[in-house]
Amino acid sequence: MFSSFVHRFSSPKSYVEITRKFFPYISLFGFLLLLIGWIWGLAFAPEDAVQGNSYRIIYLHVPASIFAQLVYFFMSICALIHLVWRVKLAAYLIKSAALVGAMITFIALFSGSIWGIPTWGTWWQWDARITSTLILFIMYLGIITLHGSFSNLEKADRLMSILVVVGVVNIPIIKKSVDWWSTLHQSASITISDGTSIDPSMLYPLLISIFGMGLTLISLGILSSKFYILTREKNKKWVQSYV
Amino acid sequence: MSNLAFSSFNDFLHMDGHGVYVWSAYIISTFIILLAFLTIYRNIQLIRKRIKDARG
Repeated sequence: MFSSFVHRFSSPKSYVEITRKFFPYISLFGFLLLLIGWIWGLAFAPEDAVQGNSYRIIYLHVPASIFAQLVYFFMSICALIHLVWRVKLAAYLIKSAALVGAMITFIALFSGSIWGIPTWGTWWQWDARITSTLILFIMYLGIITLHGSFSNLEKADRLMSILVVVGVVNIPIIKKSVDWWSTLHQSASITISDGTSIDPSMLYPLLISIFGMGLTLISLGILSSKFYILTREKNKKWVQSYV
Repeated sequence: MSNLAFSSFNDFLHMDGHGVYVWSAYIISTFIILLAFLTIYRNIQLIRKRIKDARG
């Protein structure tokens, strides 16, 4: 039963049909949560004792940075599935997720830079965390460019997957950069092993913003993949009757 | 979520001098995300129309 489910869902046709059903709920719920998290964080959460009000960028910067890495993690799982089982849909998802990843990584870098001006006195520092995140952003652009540079699309899918798998070494480096090197960037405030060092009055809106941002990005990814699947399979019969 | 952190709307916008950083980060990022949604949505409409037209 499991393998028949995987088989069914891995056809681009049923993927488009299933995601279309869930899209309105995911996007609406995501926007609402993000709105609640941000209003709570901007207007109701207390001021930070050290950083003052500039810390309120956290409700944008932390969700963006988390998903900058999670989108890549998702792509590397898709890349393995594509390389091992030759599932076409997995390659389509890598290509469409890379756009979302590039966008959210840019937002993470950009919001971090703005936050740096009042708190660190500089908008940029070649510090381990910032540099490895910049490399992640360049990787997303490289993956998109590499795929676009081949006329043989099957070959492009395979080489893109290999590049994604190789590039996954950067993810633990980003995560651990603040522990391995002495950096300007602070270390994690929420950890699984040691709990959290943030007060609940600031933590709850942060968690809501993280969930809201995740669902918003999933809905953007659904749209992005739908566009790519329609473009890629435009000559297939199911697309002809779907549009 | 019971207490507002600011006593007036002006304070809320100004945020003790940090408002310019906080608001520009949020407004520009929201704009980028909305632009991404609109661009992809429009591209889907365009490709659908192109496939329909080609089908005749």
